[in-house]
Amino acid sequence: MSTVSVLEALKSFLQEKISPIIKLQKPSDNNIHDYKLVNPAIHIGWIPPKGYLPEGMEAAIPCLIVGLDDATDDGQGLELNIRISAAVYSPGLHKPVATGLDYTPDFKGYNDLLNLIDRTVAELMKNQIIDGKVAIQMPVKWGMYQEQPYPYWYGWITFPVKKQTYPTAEIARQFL
Amino acid sequence: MSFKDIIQSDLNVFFNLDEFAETHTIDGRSLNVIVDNDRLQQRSKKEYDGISVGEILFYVKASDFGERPEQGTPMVFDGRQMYVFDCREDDGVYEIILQQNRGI
Repeated sequence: MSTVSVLEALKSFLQEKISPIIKLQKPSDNNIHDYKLVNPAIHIGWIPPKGYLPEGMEAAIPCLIVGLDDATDDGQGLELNIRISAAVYSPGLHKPVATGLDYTPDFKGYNDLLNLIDRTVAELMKNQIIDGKVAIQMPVKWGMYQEQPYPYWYGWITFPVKKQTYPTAEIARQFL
Repeated sequence: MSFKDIIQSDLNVFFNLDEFAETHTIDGRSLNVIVDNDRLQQRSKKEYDGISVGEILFYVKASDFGERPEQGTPMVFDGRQMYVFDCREDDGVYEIILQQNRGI
């Protein structure tokens, strides 16, 4: 199983287990009063720029981004250190009033971020073998970045996964 | 008429809607401000994937605006959720730079 296949297996897992169960605010950079909730998108590697969104994807953020920190193969086993980044848009409180929505900015967007992270960690812990091929290892760690690009909020989840090692050369198998 | 009075009467000319000023909505209030479009810019924020930064620089009469805003204060400018990056006061006029983190 290639590195890309591991990332794709994790993406499919998150699309099935996380995207449908949570809705978060869609970014509205030009009109803060335009309030809409969407299911988080799942990306591999990086957030695609405008114009490169896959068909049917409403917004690049909120999202989970499946990435690779690094990988090692010691001949006995192959381990990949996975980083899932989480990004949400949460500028403040939109409260329903008779005339529509009343908006008050606040700095509580970390709640939405941590809810997304918590649900993702819970599903990873419940399903430690993904697609029958990727084995999630402990420890699973998560956190938030010290500085946040308000009204966007960013955090991360890291954990190792094991997969079958690449075949070694015949000479290495015999003599090493 | 004192020198300060002269400056104040000049401000009324600059902030006249028929001259340089435009009406913009800031935190729900309609204010006559002068937006310096030359300083409008948008750049990519390298630290965060998917985020760019937009800026607006505008001038507003301190007497119209009220208390001088502090750095980091959130401010909604024409529906855009921004925050105060810098504010200077000169002869009764605030020069305010707003920044906005935007999705790319």
